[in-house]
Amino acid sequence: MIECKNICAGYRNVTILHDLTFTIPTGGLVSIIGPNGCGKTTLLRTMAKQIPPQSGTVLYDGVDIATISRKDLARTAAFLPQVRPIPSISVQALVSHGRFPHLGFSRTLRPEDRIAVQRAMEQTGITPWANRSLDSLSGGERQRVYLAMALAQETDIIFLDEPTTYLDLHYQFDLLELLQQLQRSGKTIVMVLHDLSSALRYSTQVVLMDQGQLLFSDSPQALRNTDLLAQTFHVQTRFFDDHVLFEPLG
Amino acid sequence: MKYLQNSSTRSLPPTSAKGRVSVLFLLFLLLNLATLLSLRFGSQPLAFDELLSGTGTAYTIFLYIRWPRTVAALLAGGALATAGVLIQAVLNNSMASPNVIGVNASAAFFALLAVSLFPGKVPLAPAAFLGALITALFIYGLALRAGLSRSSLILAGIAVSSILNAGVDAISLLFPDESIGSTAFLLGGFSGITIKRVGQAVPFLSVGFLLALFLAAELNILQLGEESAISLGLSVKRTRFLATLAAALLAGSAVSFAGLLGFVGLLVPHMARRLIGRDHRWLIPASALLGASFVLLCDVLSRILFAPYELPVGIVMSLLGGPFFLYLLLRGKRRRVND
Repeated sequence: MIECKNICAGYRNVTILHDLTFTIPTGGLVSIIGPNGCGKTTLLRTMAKQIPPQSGTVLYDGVDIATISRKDLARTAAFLPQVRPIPSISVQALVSHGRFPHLGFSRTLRPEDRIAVQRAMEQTGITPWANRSLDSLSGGERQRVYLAMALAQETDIIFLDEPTTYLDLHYQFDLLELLQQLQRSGKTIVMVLHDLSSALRYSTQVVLMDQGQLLFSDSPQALRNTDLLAQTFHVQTRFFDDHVLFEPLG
Repeated sequence: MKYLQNSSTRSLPPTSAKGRVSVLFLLFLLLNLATLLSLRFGSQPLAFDELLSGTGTAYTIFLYIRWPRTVAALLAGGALATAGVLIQAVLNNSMASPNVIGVNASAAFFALLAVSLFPGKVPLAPAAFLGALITALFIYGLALRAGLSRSSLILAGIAVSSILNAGVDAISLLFPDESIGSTAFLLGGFSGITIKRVGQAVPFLSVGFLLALFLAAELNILQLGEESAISLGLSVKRTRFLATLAAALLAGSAVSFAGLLGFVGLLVPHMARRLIGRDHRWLIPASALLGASFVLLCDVLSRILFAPYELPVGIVMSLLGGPFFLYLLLRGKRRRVND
């Protein structure tokens, strides 16, 4: 369970998030949505301890993450940033880096680490590219490789910042379905998602934000019974069985 | 994001342990060859059988000139190349090197300041190390606080370099009698080197190199970007600080006896990456071996090209290294230079 209690956060002297309190149950697939610049990424980064909150606490299973060491945290939660460098290293080498928080002083892979790397590569379907260079892959392929690195980390929680942005449509669905599988296997997935339809379709919980404030945190079904989406995004919404249609106002 | 920016056929350097060991072994052979050449050739070629007698002019030349000089070139080359790898990893910028960002100039400035103000009292190596560390931390601080882009950072380094070089020039004009204020020092060179001056730097070099090897796995994580590195549990600040410290130990102590040797710190890491890849556990030893061989071979050339006159090795290195670096850049222009 991830609890955010009275989170205020930002960078330097600027406060972007204002007093956010909400809870994410273990095994949830959670999408953080909201207009551009509303603080989604800042929230995700705060929850993943990439930045410290200015006030308030984030707790994993009741433990304040400020008290957890970086290395221990890295065995509990993985964070996939939106913008990543593309070093000219092999796919396998990159995925192996996911084992870093589990390695001992010698920093060499043990048999169980190799198994975890193999498993992560199979789950994401990237085994055939093991020896290819990362910079020879397409954007969608790299996304899967980075996800494999996060899986090799074998954490209970995975944070992803806009994992589907820039991906072709079928890659987006592949990725979301993979995340759904992971969630069903017991992991907690928290992501910033720009695509509202996907957020509503795949998530078990939606966190809606605007201007650094929390507007809503509950199931997508509950969100349909409000007009918050229409208000926040300045659109008209029409809900069908399992999807939503957005139309311009007027 | 563009799809298929590069052809998928682009090959990586060897990734198997066996392939990498072979590359290291070949570099080790190259270093041995370079060392033998450096001991054998100079303005006065020495025959090896003469040396074995243990007496005579040849033996004296060997003991007091050739041997110190060979050791100095080997250590300076290895140290500056390793410092280059470290600085490029810390700044995540393959255009950087101890020379480019002013670390070498700072080491030289402090060393000169020490001998000019307190002649014979202050050992050069610690003074040079201190100078190197101050500038390396300053540049890193600039990158961190001002959030400078890669190219702005290089420009800042060039500005810092030119300020410090002005200081170096001023001191060497004001105190012309100091031995290390000679042209050889300013251009980088090993003539007149003593084993004592090299020996003074050895503890600094050893600590720096061991620290570099110890940090190798962490530098691999660092190249994934700060956010991923944090997510993988790396203490990014600590790693960057220790790597900067190691780079300053290596570059500073190399400058204290070899002078302002440019280029090796920029060129050799690029060459080594092409040979052995980006895994720092292999890249650091490969760069050290290659850097040592490169400086040794350039020094041999500097002695024999115009014998009995000799050029400072820095000139030979730039003459050879410059065109070669251009060739690497142009050949690799389809790849991003600063990836």
